[in-house]
Amino acid sequence: MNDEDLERWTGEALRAKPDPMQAPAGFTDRVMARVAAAAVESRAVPTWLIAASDPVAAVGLTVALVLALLASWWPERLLGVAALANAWVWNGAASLARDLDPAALLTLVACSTLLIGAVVWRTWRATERALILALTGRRGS
Amino acid sequence: MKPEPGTSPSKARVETPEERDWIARCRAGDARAYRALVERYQDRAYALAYRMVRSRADAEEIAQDAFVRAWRGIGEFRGDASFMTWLYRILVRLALDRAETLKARRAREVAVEDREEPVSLPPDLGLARRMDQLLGELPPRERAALTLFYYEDRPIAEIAQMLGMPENTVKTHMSRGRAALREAYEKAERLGGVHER
Repeated sequence: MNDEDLERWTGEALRAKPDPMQAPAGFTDRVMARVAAAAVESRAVPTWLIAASDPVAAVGLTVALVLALLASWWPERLLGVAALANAWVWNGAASLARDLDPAALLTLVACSTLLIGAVVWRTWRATERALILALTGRRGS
Repeated sequence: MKPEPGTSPSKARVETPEERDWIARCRAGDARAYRALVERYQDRAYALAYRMVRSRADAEEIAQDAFVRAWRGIGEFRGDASFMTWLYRILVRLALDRAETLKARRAREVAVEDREEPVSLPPDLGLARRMDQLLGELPPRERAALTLFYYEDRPIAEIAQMLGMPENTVKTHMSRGRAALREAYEKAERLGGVHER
């Protein structure tokens, strides 16, 4: 049988289509339940709005942010507190990880980076002062 | 006279104003409008998925996945093709992936059982259903190309887009598929399984 004959034969053989099929009962409901879940997942919830679902984490984040701001201009006394705040942020992130959308995760990473930056900066300043003191034998101004 | 498959637009491919309105509302996040679209196309989507994977459970999962993905991507739907064509593109890709996985699994099972029997069909089955069953025995891409062309009346250019391959490759798959279908038909006929009534 050549290609043309085969094409004709297939056309004839498949001309009668099988009975139409119906989706299983409840199909639409199951799809819509998944659509609703997808809508929740894709909704970008800013981290500062997480308070609605997890007030503890939101308070933690707010405190951490305030401490980070303080640590950025208040001398090394706040170093330990900033480190603690950093841990607090990540604790919040871990507790929320299951529900986090990318935007919220990015905000948490940004907060954390800010805190780590503050800690590194204050540590460097403290080391620098200690070095100056050790080398000159005088307290730096 | 019935037109040749894949040469005329089917009614379902033409978008109604009502459907365009639903799509616009879906873009604005209206889930009720999307429900209407799902209700309209669920049977066709499920049937196509079933014809490609030949498993009811897998077909439902694939059809659901396709609808969920379509919802997620509705903002990117430009309306160049109808919603149904766009949905089919998503569904066909998902079904092909699943069909390939199932084929590999079946091949392993056959290797373990070390047997390969020609399809035996009950004699009381209508010709259309018998041909449909034989179609289900073809390799996934050939099955997909023939199903879309003959059962869904899709033109080759559109099938090529859905399968993500050049038109000539689709034609090659169709040609191989026809030959394999004819061979399977003859085997089944020798076994007394396919008779036109």
